[in-house]
Amino acid sequence: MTFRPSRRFVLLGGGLGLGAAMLGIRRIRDVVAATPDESLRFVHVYLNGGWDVTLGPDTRAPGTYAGLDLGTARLAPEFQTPLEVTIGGTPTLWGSAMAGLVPHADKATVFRGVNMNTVAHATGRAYVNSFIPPAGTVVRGSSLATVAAAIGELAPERILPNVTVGFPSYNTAYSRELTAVSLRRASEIQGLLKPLSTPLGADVEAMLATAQDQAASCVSDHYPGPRPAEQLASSRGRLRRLLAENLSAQFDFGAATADMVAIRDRFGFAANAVTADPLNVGVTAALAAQLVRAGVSRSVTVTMAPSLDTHGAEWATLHPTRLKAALDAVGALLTDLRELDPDLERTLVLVSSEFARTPKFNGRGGRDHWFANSMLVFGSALKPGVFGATGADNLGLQQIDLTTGAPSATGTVLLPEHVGATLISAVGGDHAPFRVAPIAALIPGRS
Amino acid sequence: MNVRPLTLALALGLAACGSTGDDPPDRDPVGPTDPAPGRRVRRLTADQFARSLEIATGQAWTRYATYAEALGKPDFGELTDEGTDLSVTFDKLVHDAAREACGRAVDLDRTGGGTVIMREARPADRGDRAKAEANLRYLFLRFLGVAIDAGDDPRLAPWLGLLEAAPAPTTDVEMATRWKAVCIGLVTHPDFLTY
Repeated sequence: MTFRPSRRFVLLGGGLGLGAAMLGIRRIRDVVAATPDESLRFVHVYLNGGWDVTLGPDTRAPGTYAGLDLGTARLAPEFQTPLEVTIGGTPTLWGSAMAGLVPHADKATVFRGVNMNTVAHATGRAYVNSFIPPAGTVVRGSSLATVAAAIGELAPERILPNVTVGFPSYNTAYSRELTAVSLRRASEIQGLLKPLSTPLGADVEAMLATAQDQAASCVSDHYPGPRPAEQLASSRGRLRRLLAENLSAQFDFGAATADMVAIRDRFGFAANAVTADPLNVGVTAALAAQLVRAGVSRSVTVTMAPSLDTHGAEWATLHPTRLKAALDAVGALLTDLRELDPDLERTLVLVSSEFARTPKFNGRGGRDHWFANSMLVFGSALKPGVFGATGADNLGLQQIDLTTGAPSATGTVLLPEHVGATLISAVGGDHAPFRVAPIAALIPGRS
Repeated sequence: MNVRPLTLALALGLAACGSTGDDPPDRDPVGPTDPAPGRRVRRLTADQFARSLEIATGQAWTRYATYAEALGKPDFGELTDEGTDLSVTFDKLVHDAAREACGRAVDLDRTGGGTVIMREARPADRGDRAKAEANLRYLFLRFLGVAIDAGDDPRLAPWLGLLEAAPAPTTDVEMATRWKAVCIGLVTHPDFLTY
């Protein structure tokens, strides 16, 4: 039998000085990362408020279009010229807000013309949560990140297999272990990881834990809903394991240690950002990266805030700067993840928003909500390239041939469930809940 | 002491725990298995938890404002939905809150003559099973709204075990620490956190 040291074993060895002797001053996170790990890591980045795809993945060359006003002259100079990138051998244009993602274009799959079937934030958010058509604003099915977390055997090292920051998470079909740990802000991770206040002493702590485990809830056995005692027991088990691992230092992004300085440099935030700027996209992306790198999470969902919902003249200033900051952070996240997995063979990063923004300006100089969305996927699970399209001169939805992604008068309008089914199928999951077939043309070895 | 919340909690607790029927209630065999939203067991909101903790222990959680959002309180800027998951984060913060409030309440009882937590049993009553049971019954009523008549009720067993586990406490401080643990256990009890 081959001995494969677990993460716990390696940490224990480090605690005893064995790690220091063997590895010098190598950081714990590198030690953890060196542990053999072939399982999928999934990161879903949600861009809050509805992104303008003409500043991102579905732009056009500056010029005049019948049904589309790029607003080039309204933008600061650095946002006026689109970027030429080649994805899967095909040249295409990305908005300049995507500059931070250009180094990762080799692993990018761009979905264009995805019909969100809504221009309501809550409905769109629900749709890009499970990638199954919602019932009004109610999410149906499990969150895509929960489905991804359920693929393959779950190693015991994954103390927090599924983490979400600022984005609701649902688990309708999988074990409780896979229900997401929900943080409202990235900075809340410290409150979660730091030791419990006012310890009672080891012996009394153990007695308390025993009593808590034995205590019965008075909810009737006949009650048909989720049982609070069982939910709490599941959370409590994970909390105990989490505190026992003493991971706090690895997520103390404001600390003056060399580790944390390097992380702040990569993700572009200041030491005080953790407390002074709770919506900082760099901190949020750093948390996602660190959860994956530290080996505690398989699936992470993060909301990139503040909002991109720019209906007024602030579209010209706030939208491009916020979008670029968010996508730069995603670029840094990809750079970080590719240190461990250079070809993203077991890593999948999905970038989505609830919808796009109108191709023409409203009376206030802003853009409203638009159906024809785009989504970005990074990872070797899908073939790189551009799949789907919007009208060249109006950003309108188009029917496409699902075997090629090219416009076709007899084709199908791309839907979020096509993206969900394809992603999950490509990484070995069951696409049945999406009720559409995966796009075989995008999955290596299936077309 | 504010009696009204305790009376309400007692009524709710008795209603929840009083049913002993063996037959499940009738419901649509092909309908959804989850109860309607109005009938679901629900977690306390952040504000409800903080207020309940203060009423039960007599002590406010001084860090509440810092962690209110993490407990699920919306800021109505970016977040408009009240979070009510029984999540790891919630459990961690509830433990932190319980430790602070229970620690202060028990210390006041021990050094200031208070009777909020240690009303029927004082730290010096080490080894007195009857007083321990009486105090646990009082705490069950105070924290969970559950009236327990008999000392041998199985619901008391885990907490009696905590109080009496070896090594037996030999000082007032050690005994008070056991009562702190009981207080923390009751604040983190699913019946305290849900309704």
